[in-house]
Amino acid sequence: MRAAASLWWLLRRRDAGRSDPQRLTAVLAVVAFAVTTALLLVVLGGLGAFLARAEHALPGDPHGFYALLAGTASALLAVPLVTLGGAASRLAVARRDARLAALRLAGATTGQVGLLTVLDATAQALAGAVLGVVGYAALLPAVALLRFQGRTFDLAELVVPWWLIMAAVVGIALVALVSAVTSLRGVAIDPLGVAARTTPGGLHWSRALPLVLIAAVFAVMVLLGLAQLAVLVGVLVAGFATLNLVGPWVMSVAGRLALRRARSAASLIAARRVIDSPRTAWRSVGGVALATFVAGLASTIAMFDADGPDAADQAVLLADLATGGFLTLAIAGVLAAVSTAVMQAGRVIDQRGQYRALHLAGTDLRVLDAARRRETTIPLVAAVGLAAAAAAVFMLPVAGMSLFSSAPLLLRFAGGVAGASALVVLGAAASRRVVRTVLA
Amino acid sequence: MSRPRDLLAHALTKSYGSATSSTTALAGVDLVVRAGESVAVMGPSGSGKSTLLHCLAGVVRPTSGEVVWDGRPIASLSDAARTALRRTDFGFVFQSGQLLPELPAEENAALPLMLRGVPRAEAVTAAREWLAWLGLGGMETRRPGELSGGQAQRVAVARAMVASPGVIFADEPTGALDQASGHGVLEVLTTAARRTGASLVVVTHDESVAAWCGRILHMRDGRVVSERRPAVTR
Repeated sequence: MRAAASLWWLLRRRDAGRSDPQRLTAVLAVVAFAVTTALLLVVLGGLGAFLARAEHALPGDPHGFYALLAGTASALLAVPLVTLGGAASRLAVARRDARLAALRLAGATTGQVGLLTVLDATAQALAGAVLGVVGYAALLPAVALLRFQGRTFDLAELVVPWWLIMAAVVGIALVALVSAVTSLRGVAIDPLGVAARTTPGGLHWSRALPLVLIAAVFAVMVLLGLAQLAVLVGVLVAGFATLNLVGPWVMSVAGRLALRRARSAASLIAARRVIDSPRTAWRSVGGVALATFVAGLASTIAMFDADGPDAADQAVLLADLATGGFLTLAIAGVLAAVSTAVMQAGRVIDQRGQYRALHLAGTDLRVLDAARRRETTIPLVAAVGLAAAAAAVFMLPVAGMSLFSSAPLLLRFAGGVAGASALVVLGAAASRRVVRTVLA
Repeated sequence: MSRPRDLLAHALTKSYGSATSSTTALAGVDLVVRAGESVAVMGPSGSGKSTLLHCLAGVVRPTSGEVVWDGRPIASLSDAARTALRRTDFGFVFQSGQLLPELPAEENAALPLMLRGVPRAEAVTAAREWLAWLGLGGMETRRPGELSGGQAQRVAVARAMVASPGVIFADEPTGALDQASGHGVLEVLTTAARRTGASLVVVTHDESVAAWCGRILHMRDGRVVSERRPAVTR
């Protein structure tokens, strides 16, 4: 333990210079951990603010409805947050094999080299988490400008207690540690499984059945006049669950359709990669899909007319629902963008041998860039399309065909989704630098 | 004198590093590889054989001297032009790790044609023909992870040959294989080159690999120090 810790301390700042992918992965992992921490604290700060407002039973929200919605949005964002943390950890342990092999040859035990890797990942997570706390503080003034319940936030409302900041930093480090240990166990237990890639079995279409079933049940309930608040929350939960079940199957189908249509080398490579790992494809864009679903529901609800004695309060609530939906979409978009950048960087580093061989054989770097871009856009278009369709299926019985006749609503929804999608494509573009580095 | 489809190197030098501390990898190499000829380049580690292969193939630009392919000087071409030349005129076989793991054998082999803009169906058909010729009939849809090392290298040979290159560059093509598989790969590589009239430049440490070629060059300290014919012609 002590020897491994000394070794780690000795090696922690050693790399082979600017073109060393090790350095680049370290920077990317730290950035990913920083984004995860900053957004986690922003979400927790927002949730805390709504809980505090609910305690004071602000006019317009006597039942703590905002706290319930904020909690739902936070739960929704937990999935992409943990996904990003895990991806960053896997990147932190990626491509350590050459260095670890050299250390093993020099006499280090498996346990010692494993500990070195875990220390690396945890140190990067801690560095990223500390940067993330600074990022959270920097973001607070902008977050405070958001208007909910008819007013902006006080900075004090959004500041989370010191112990929660500590818990977030420790939590991020723990996610990194657990992911690193899990990654190492996979390599140690089944080294052949890592190297040997076989034809993946297709996912079964029956995964789509629950979505159809829930939509049908929901439609019947609405037609029977049973659509209460509890039903809407139930729809959200059921929608999340089914989207996560259906998502990988849809990725697989989208990949196969793209493969059938592939004419160029870039399209072929991209489609094969999506088919190769539909779950990975879904993990990188699933957050945006879930947020698109929420934004779709929120936008639809926002088009209802407020009436009755508390019409003014209702109007604020409906507008806030739409704002909350788009805010969730924006945060999910940022998380997905960083996840995509991290996952693609990891893949480039894992496949640097093949990248070099293709480049030596005269493959234009633009072809490789296009393949990675399409590897992101194929799942993204399919995921966002699925989520928008799912939102429409669930809301159609409630809103009727007027859902499609409100141009401002559709434009705002499409604009929000396009913005989040553009962020993800930008995230994919960030891995261009990694390709140039590994080919240098 | 240069003839069509000849590959020539004249007074080739290559240095790495800065002016104050540079390492000389090539120190003046002259070489002629005639159309359809096979040449093995041998030598100890650091003798410059891989650098010579990279200069001849237009992967790196020599510090001085010239490389002429099919009557055209290529050393002074832009990076993009040299990349395009490698795509259209040359084929490559490396030691290992060159196949994309997600693609089945037929698509890996079809890639060079698709990169040239050949329609996918046509490219895959041509790739299948090469795979069958190389003894991989029935394995077209297998992925690299489902093939043995020797089979994967045959797919790499199919990929190198599919676009009918003028020169095939092979860098330690059997370095990761056992002797029997290695000889099998060399046999199909040299036969395939003869079949298409392509020249073959093989960099190797292994005398038994070099013996498959028509001429063997020995390098030391960045120079070609000797040249001979193999004792037994295959």
